[in-house]
Amino acid sequence: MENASIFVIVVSAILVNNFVLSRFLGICPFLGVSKKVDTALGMGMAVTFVMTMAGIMTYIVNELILVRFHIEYLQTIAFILVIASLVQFVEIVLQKVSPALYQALGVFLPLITTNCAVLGLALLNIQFKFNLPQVIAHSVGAALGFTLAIVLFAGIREKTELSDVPKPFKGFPIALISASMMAMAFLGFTGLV
Amino acid sequence: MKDIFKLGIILFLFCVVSAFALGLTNEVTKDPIAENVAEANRQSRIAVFPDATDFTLIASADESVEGYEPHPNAASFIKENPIVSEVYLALDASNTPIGYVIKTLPNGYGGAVTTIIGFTMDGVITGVRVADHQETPGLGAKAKTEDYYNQYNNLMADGNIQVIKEDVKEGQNAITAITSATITSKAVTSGVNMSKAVLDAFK
Amino acid sequence: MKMKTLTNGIFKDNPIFVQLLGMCPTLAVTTSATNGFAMGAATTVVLVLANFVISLIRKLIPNKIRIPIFIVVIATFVTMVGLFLKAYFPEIDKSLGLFIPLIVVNCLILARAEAFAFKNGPVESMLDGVGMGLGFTLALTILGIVREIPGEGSVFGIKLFPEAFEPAVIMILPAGAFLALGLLLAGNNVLKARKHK
Repeated sequence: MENASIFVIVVSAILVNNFVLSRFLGICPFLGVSKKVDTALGMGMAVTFVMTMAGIMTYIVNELILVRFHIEYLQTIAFILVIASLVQFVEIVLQKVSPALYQALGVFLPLITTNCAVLGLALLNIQFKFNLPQVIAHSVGAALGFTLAIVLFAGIREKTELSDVPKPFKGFPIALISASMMAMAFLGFTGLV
Repeated sequence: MKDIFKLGIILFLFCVVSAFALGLTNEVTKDPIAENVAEANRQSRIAVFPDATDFTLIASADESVEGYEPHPNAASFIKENPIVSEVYLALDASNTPIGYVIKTLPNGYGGAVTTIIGFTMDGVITGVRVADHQETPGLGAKAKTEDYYNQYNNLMADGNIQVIKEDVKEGQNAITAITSATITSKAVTSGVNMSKAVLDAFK
Repeated sequence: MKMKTLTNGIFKDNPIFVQLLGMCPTLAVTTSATNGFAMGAATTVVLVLANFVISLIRKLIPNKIRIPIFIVVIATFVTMVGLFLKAYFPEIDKSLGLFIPLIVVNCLILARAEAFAFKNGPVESMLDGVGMGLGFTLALTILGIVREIPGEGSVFGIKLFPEAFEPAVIMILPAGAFLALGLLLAGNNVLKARKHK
């Protein structure tokens, strides 16, 4: 994938290989935060910021430290520590800069640490052997794809809340089946780039 | 402040213990892992050249690989043909060179399609395999099937294998592209067509 | 020995069907029963080891930084399990791929560390780990079977149908994963409602 153009990387990450509907990353917040469109949007923006910064920082840590000293096996632990610190930092800054948004996101902000989309992105960047511009493109694209997926999903869920759903399907089952249809729809993008 | 400092030190100590434990695990598992990788590579070479019993590396695009004797033309060949990443000499049971196995990285739909090709000294393709790729499942990914691989068997390594949409006629040096996956088919074929350049440079 | 601690995680508080934790690997690796089982087993090993160690040193962990320390401990065991698989079970390593390092962000493990291991003794924490792990493995294997049969016409790699069987490939793709889990959860709800009648 290291020879793909920036355009291909971005379009692929948002539509063709959507992180949630195609790669199965970020399912927990996808199912958990998607009850209302505005919460979903807020979460999407926070994740976009964290994913982009995390993608860049983990790439730098990998190049400057892990590869240079041949300690690639410490990748998992180094990356998750970078992500956890980044989220902590974002929390502190957000509290000072925009207390309203901080309140709105509530417990979901620290949960971005355990969002497999962030760690998954960091690991995929290394696996695809991207250089720095490609890392940035991929991280932004992936995050936008995630945001697109959860906002669309929230829209659908808001509507199903008001529908007459059979009892066993109420709540998560019908949500998962709707997600299944979304994933099928996104399959239509294969072969786009 | 002192509090944060103390907490930081404790966290750091945990990380040190963890890094130590992992370093130990790494030492123990390093060799089995390397063996597994080497064996898997060897298996893929045998798959494309079943008549060979051994392989010697004669050119590699990876500068960190050591312990082999590069062919005199290796360096210039690799430089002029960046899509070839490895060239192996295929040997039979009596250690006579009978052909080559090369690993190429032509660009497909979603990136490089790692293609491994075996061919004899006389320029006949003995086998093709696709390893890593990012092609579309159900379309380009069909390049990883026996049916597709078999199309290349016994074709001429003249650097000019065609990719056509119809069925291949008797004696035609061509393969039929996978439906809706022409780009992938062309990528793999361009890798196979590197066989001519290898024969010219190394024979 | 508290048997309840062990059996809790298998049915009553099943991580996937009841608690809905650890969704990412659940949907991603259950393309076959064997993959589901392997993932469950790997996660269980990490869960038991992490629960044990965290419980053992819980008095030494300052409350303020407990989450980062949990993460360091869990990440260490995940890396160990990963290296071990790469060395001795390379086929499993290849099929589970990216999701082995992702075990570190499986919310199930962090949740058990926080809810149980930090507050209970080492032996009990191990039992909790085993119980939750078994429940997780059971759920993953069931989901794997449910997807593999229509999706590939086999179960644990053993072909069930004659050659003419055209598999419903959708079941191995993401859409099928969501569908299968949604239907299983709905089915679970029906069973629960019947039990209460």
